[in-house]
Amino acid sequence: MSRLQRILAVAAALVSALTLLLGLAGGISVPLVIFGVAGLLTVARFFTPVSLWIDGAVAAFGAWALLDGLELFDVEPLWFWLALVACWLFAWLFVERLARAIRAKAMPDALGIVIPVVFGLSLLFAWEVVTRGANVPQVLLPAPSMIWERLTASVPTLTADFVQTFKAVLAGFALGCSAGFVVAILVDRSPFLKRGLLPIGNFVSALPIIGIAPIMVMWFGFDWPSKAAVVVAMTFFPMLVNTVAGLNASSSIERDLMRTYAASYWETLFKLRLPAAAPFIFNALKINSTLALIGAIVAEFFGTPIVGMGFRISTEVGKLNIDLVWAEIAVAAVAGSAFYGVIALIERAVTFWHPSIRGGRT
Amino acid sequence: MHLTSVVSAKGLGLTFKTGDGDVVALSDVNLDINRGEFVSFIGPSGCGKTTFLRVIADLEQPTSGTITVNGTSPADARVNRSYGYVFQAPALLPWRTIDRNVALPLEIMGYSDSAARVKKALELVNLTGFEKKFPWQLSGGMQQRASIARALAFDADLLLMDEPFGALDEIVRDHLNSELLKLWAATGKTIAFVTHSIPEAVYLSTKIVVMSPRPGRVTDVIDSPLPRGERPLEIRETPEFLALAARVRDGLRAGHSYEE
Amino acid sequence: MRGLLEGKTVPVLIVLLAIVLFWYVMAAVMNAPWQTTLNTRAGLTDVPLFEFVAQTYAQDKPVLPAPHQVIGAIWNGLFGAAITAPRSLAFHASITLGATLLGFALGTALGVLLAVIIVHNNASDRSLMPWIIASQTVPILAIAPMVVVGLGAVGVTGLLPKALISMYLSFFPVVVGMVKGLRTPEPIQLDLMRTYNASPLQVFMKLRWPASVPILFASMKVGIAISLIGAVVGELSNSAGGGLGVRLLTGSYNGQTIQIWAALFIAAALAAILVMLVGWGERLANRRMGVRA
Repeated sequence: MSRLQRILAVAAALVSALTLLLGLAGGISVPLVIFGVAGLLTVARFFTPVSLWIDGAVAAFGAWALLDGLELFDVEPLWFWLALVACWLFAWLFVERLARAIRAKAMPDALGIVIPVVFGLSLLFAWEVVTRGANVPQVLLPAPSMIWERLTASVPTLTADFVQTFKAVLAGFALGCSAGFVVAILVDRSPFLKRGLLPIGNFVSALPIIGIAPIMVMWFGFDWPSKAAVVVAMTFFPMLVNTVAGLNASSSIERDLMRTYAASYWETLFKLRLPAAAPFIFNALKINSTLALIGAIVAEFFGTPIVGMGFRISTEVGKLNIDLVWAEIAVAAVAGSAFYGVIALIERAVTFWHPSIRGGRT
Repeated sequence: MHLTSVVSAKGLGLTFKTGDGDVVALSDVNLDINRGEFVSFIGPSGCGKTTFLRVIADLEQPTSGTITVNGTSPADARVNRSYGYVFQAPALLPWRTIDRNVALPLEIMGYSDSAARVKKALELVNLTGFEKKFPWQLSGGMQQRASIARALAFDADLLLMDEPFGALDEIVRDHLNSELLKLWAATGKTIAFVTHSIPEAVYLSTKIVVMSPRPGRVTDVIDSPLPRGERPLEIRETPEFLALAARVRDGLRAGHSYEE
Repeated sequence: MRGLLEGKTVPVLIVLLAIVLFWYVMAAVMNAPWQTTLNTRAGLTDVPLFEFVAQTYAQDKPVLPAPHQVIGAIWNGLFGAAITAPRSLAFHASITLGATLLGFALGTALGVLLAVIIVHNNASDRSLMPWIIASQTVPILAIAPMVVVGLGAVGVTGLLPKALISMYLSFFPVVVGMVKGLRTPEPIQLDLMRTYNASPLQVFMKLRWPASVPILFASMKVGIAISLIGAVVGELSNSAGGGLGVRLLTGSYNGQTIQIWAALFIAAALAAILVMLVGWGERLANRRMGVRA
């Protein structure tokens, strides 16, 4: 056992014991008693090997017991929170041991996916328990269960908002990325433009472009075209800068090779420089997928017809319906991840030859 | 015997202007490379051997003197696709399989019988069976062979090779050297070969050009007395070989190649 | 002359000049319809072109303000009002700057801390990195109003909510960059440290940390620009709080286009200055550490 594992194991057992002691005096529920006892018994690991799956099982059982015991009191007593701490410690211990086991090849690599999943679930669970148990004001942070309830009850609204916003996202993304790409090729053909336009482009890409949203609303109206315009402005520069970098990525040896074949500019571009630039271009596309979504949503803060994700967020925030806001954000997160994921999958197929896709960790 | 000159340089000079002043890469080079010859250029770094090769290939432009390739200027020769160039690194495109890599010049130059040519080129370098592999799946030696196959695939009588085996270990290098000689016998091309290995230069060539740095110039041109036909690797222990190597070494020493 | 054209400054200046000229032309074009309406209402007909164009450059709420109008508004906003007056752009800029710097400092500290943990503990690496990368796909700025209003409802207002948003935005590039940076030492260098029986702390202080300083600065340049954006967007949800975002919002509600452009330019200038300052720090650090320029 490593030092960290030892500390965690002792702490977990101790806190479980404490929970049990205080709880038995203060009206603890049966499942939590079982959890406390199980936690205390894990000290056996100092005398005989205890499988890491036991730690995981104790943590999982403790989670269920805590959720079950939320209704017992209005104000949760100290031992309740100690139980939460113990549960967290067991989960941590489980993850720590699993990571070590995978590193030592005692467990298959594929199990590695369990670790971030367990971590995510633990966060979610702790969120639920803390917000409900500590009576956190719903306006500050609603419990996940509440958000889920609101989400499932508001599907029509959420869908309408999603469609409205995504019109802007997709149109702006397509237009902005194409424009960036075309200008990059133009800049490549003209060394003068490269020296004159690129520094300005680099400069502008660091600026808060999202600020042009009110101006776009003024020029293009309230509906989604103005939001698409903001997205175009936001996605143009990363695409331009990355494509130019990518076009310069092919090394001089390969370009000399094309010269020995007396290949024309366009032949060299299509056969050598564009494929070599693909990793950079996809990097920009991935960055832009996030920027597009952010741009469309924040642009809607500045005025939009009564539908759209940004609109919904800003108005519901004003009405303090935070659970609906979180529901919108959950939808946005899923949509954003899906968008990013699709691009990443295409990247894998197109740039299969690049070392980062082939072997190294992404 | 009627010798046709493939490359003819007279008083060739190339001076680079750098931030630290002028660098005379080539100075007063007078040299002829004749059809069917295997000419090695040997010398330390900075002696101008790679630069000379690049001038032939129109990858650099001379600042003085003249040079003709196949009777025309290097620029015309390049546009006419008169030579194949093999670089120090394989320079294969990683997103193409080996056969598509070898076919790259054929696509650009518009050859219609590309499949047959690719097959023949890969046979010449003993890479049959590896057509559908990607470059990273091949060892360094095999990648370099693919690069040579690519240079052989199209009709160019002149082959320019810039230290193609420099990055490989000696065992692979020996093997590729004897393969290269067999290939040269089979195709009858004219080969200009840059190296900084004395045994390699002596083993491969019919003519050895010894060069020295500061300024880059030719110190000796040696016609090899070794037989033109089959040269087994064992020839490297014969007295004639060793005498030739000594002569090359003397040439290098005379040009102060061994001094800092 | 040719030497000048081959440098960098002249092409940039020429492109900038071209942009400004284009801007003036577009301003005249886009303001023309309203100006025509104004002139018809005032009974003015047959206004000569030169005068008409001058009129389009002098509107109160133009569709596209002319460059000199924006510069004028910036000048007045910066120097024409006391620094504490609500009209003063310097006042609003300082509010935004405060939130930006605090958020940036917190975000960088958080990012470095997380990176150190991730690099030294394999379980943390496996738990945290996937979520950190996934968080990049969530439109974080969309949470801004919620953070501001939510914290406001429990009594936390002013600088802190905006700084928290900026922190959340700027920690990501720092984490990703630092993890890569702390991992740059090659296996051969780590082996060397092993032969010295160096402790993890010594390896960190003598090898990993110095190796990651260049990447840290590169990440901080991205981080500080993003922090500013976070602060500005945070201000959109709390108009009582002041700041450049508020100027953008009120300008947008009142149709005060010149005000919007002026605020936007100040925000842009602020971003540029901050990035430049970090860049100077980077050059200083690089020189002291012998990094090839």
